[in-house]
Amino acid sequence: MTAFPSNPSAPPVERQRESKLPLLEKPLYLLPAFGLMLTFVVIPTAVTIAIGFTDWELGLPDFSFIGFENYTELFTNPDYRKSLFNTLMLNCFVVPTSLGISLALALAINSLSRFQGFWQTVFFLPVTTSLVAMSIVWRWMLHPQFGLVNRLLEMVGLQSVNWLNNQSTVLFAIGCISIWQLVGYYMVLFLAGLIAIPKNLYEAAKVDGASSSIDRFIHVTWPMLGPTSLFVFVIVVIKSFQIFDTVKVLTQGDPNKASEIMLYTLYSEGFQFFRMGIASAVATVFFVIMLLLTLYQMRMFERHVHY
Amino acid sequence: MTQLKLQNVSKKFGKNVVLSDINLEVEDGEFVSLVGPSGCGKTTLLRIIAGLESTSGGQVAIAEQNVNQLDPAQRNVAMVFQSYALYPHKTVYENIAFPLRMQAPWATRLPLVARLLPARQSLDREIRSKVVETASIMGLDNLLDRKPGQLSGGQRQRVALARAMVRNPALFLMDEPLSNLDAKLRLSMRSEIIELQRRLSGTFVYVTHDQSEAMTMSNRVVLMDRGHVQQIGKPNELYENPANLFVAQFIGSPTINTLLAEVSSAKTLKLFGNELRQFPERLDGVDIIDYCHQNQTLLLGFRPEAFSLVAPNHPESLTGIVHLIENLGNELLLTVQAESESDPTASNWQHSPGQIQARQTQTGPIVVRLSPRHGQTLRLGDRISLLPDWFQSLAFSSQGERLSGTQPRREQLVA
Repeated sequence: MTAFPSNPSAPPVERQRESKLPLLEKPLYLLPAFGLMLTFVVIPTAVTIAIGFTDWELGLPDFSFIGFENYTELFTNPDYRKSLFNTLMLNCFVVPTSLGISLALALAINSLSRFQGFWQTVFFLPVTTSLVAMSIVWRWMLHPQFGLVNRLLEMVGLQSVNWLNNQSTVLFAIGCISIWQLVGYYMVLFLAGLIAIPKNLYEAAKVDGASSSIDRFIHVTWPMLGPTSLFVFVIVVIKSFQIFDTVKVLTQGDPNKASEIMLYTLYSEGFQFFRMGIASAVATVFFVIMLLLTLYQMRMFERHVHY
Repeated sequence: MTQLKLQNVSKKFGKNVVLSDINLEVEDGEFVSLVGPSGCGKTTLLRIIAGLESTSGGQVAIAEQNVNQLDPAQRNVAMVFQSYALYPHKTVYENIAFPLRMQAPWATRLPLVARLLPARQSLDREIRSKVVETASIMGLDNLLDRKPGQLSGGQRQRVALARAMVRNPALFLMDEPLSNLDAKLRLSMRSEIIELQRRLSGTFVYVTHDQSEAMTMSNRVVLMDRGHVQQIGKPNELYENPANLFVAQFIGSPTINTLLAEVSSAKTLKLFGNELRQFPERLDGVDIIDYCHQNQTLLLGFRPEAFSLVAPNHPESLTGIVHLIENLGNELLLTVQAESESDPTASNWQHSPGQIQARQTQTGPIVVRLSPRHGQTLRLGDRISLLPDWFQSLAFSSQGERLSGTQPRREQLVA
């Protein structure tokens, strides 16, 4: 100890200060964050779940508990069932398409030797825009007479389509706008995953006989991309359940409720018809679906993607 | 049969010349090391042989077939990487089986469908027997179901070796395979690889920056620097008969002592701050008096073991002060400083690393290897007399070139 007089005194002081903390001080430090979480996450969630069991309407002073009546209404009324069905259909289209396109873009850009930054920017730009503003642009792009999309279709000799007023195309159109907006974001995530794969593995695969790039994709890229893919998958599902802006701006659920999706139902029940009880029930169902899906994905894939 | 033949292989990255005119022939069953300081091009050369890098010129032939235009997959070479490059998502079994699966027709590799093919059954059996056999040679029998992440460094190394040997390649290429292991394991894996090479009688090209690895493992060593081959030879040839000062200083540890020699008109030899009146006139096949009188710088190299302790005032001895004593048990390393430090001949001259041309810098004392029994009597600060073994001396020009060339020396011819 005498040989090194300069440093040994420092650590005990540190320890002393720590032990002097009063018992209540640590919880006190936690309080602001804890309070915020409570106020803005936990209590609202609990209140929403509770309101789902009442017939409360926005502005009315009185309400009564009506048990599961809102939920039976949700699952038996054809309008609500259609909304649920539309939401699932939209997701079945948006999720795999987004994943496929963003992975393809990432692979393509990653294989470029030059101008990677340029193409990344091009595909990432829509992410940076405001979706409400872009929805208005898209309304004109999809306009039955003047829209660019239909003019292009006509140029190649196809019939023009009234995208947003046709029951069979409206969900497709809305899905496409959502894919267009977010695919660049997923692409960047995939690119980060691709860059992290050690080059040595590709070289080993080449020497071991995987001479085609398809072989190398199957045996190196795809398995090594597992954790990234899982993460992107979860994000894509969450994001595509969140589709709302386009529906609100472009169709308001029309025509004939063909673009009515859960978030829009929630909005119109709660803030147009003021039926907070049923709106809260929709929110709760939405919450449960998201929670279960995310848990399932994590459980299901965690085992397969981490080595 | 010549298993590997390189003819005038060169490589440029842009204007940067990484390899120039490399010529090398490796016979069947030979173990050849490529060794040199980092940036000398040895790994690039290995990657060119593997086909992972293209050549800018010259020809590569494997098993007497020109492979310049062939993919790595078609060259029938196996490579072991420094990082092992095991597939982390595959089990040890599947890692070893991978090259065999890739050799099989592509239809047998289709997901799901392939399992229904009758050919797949017999293929699976064949692969299993080969993998199990290879794994047992490498002592991996109990680890076949593990993933690489669950293995120790040494075990991963064995899996990488097993994956290389399972398909019986024409050539084994190894890129510093031991440098990620700890010192003790490195030594045991060293002997294991040598044993493996004898057992397979395979042809190995082994890249390392560690001269002791190259010296102990290989039949022949290719010493490279800045994209040029400096010398190719058996390990002892490189040690005893280096082509230039770079080779002499790279091979051997502790490094060879390089002393500036000056012969004055009065026929005294100035060496290590000493003036010797008695000395051999021919050293390493060079008439040193003649050479010095042509006003040229002469550098004499002495290996650390080329000195012996003699009584003071021995006419041919060099005196110096003991500066450091390192007793390694089996040998004693003495660091000896000259008495007159201002004298340019008093220092041990070093090539700056990676350079052929003489930009020597004077760096302090010489290192001498003695028997440990001297450890009892020597003290720091002692004034000692060292007799150089003149016949082991190596003479170099100021450019670092060996003055006698690399012709076998007289005593070697006699032996």
